[in-house]
Amino acid sequence: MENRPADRQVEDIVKRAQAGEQAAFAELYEMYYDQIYRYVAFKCGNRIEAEDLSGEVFLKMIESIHTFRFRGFPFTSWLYRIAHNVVVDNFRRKGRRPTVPLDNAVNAASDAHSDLERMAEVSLSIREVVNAMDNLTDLQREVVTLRFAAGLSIAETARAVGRKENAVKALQHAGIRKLRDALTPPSGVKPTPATQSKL
Amino acid sequence: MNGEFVEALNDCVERLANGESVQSCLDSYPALADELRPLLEVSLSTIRAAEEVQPVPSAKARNFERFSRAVSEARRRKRERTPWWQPWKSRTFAPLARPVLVGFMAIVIMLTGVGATTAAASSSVPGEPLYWVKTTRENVESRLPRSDESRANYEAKLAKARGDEMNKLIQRGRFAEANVAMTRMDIHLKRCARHAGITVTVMNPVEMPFKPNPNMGSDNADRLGKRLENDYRLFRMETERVMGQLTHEQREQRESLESFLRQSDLKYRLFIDAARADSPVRRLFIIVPVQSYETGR
Repeated sequence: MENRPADRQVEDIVKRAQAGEQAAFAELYEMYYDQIYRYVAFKCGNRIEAEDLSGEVFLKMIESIHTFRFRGFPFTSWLYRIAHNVVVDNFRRKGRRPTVPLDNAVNAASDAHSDLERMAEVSLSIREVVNAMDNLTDLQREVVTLRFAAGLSIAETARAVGRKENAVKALQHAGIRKLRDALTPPSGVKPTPATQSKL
Repeated sequence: MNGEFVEALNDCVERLANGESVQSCLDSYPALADELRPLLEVSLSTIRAAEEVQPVPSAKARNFERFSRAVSEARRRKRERTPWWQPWKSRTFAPLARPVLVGFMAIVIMLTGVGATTAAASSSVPGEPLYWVKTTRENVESRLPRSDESRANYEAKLAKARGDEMNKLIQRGRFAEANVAMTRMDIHLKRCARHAGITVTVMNPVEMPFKPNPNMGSDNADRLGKRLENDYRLFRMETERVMGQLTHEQREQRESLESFLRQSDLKYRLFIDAARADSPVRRLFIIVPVQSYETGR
């Protein structure tokens, strides 16, 4: 999980952005772009689309940041609500979920991961995960995406989906079980990196 | 659903996201290890797969350029929308504007309501629903800290108000209440005299010690005298008009009223002369016992 800025720091940056400071907007972009991109990519499963929609999320943020108030509601949760709405609107416009795989989503950065132990544990491609997510309910998919792709805490996820923390934990549990069922081969043989389509 | 298992799974997911291995997580929950293992493996694989998804730097830079342009445009629109002399229209103040406006309107409505009620009450007479508003306001005002001169003027104003009420009550044939108003008018005049430093006595004025008021200069005393003179002139005109409207059957009341008017006339004149006296020693005001016009005593 990425290093996350302190709440105070986020609050300060958001307030400066609300006051119209351009540098603060740039900081927010730098702070959240990658996370938002991952979330959107997980949701829509298409790299080009994910780039466009991520850009759209930040444009929407500019439009409505003046409405955001720090009243126990994390800025991250608010931003992911925007992202969720952007993705849902996109689905509505298209009428269906995209089928184009996200194979190209992994860039040269992945080449740097050479740790053998780590590579042994990474046994799934992003395409498989995205496809497996189709077996989850909308809410389970949202929770799993926010937790695993966006890296939100249980509390932030709960705020973003408008559910209690215990409910989110239960949804996470059910989502992981369904993912396991969808991703485990019928023979019971655990897939290995060698058997996977390389990202 | 097993709550303990759900909590353990969540704890392990957090730890996997922070870089711990599956095995180290399972070591913390040996009793649940068999059930947890496949779920943690899937979780870790999903987390790692997600970590592999990175934005293409050129696309990120392109989006940032778009974003920066949009920020600049938003700032420009904001400046155009919000003239510097109307800061309450800015996005910063807009959320506050509505509650402030609602509060302001509530105060305006309340003050208007109070003002309208007070205005309506000012012309009321005893026995009317709003009369208590008038007397309450007078009681409050009379307790406000003010100079002796101001108090004397205020009492003179109340004396005139009672005189007006008396005339209205007579017009309506409510003679008993008019009599009460007349008595009150007399009380206010006495208070006015006291605040003006005029000795009030029903005895031989020569034997009575005077109580000069050092705050009451000759100019102020002259102004008070003029005020009383004017008030009394208006009061007398109105009373004479009311008396002219009394019917033949109300002859008794008319005679009593004439008697009261004579006494008031004398009282006002003595009071005005005393107020205008150039020496405090001469500021004596002889009280002529008020004669009730109703009973004829």
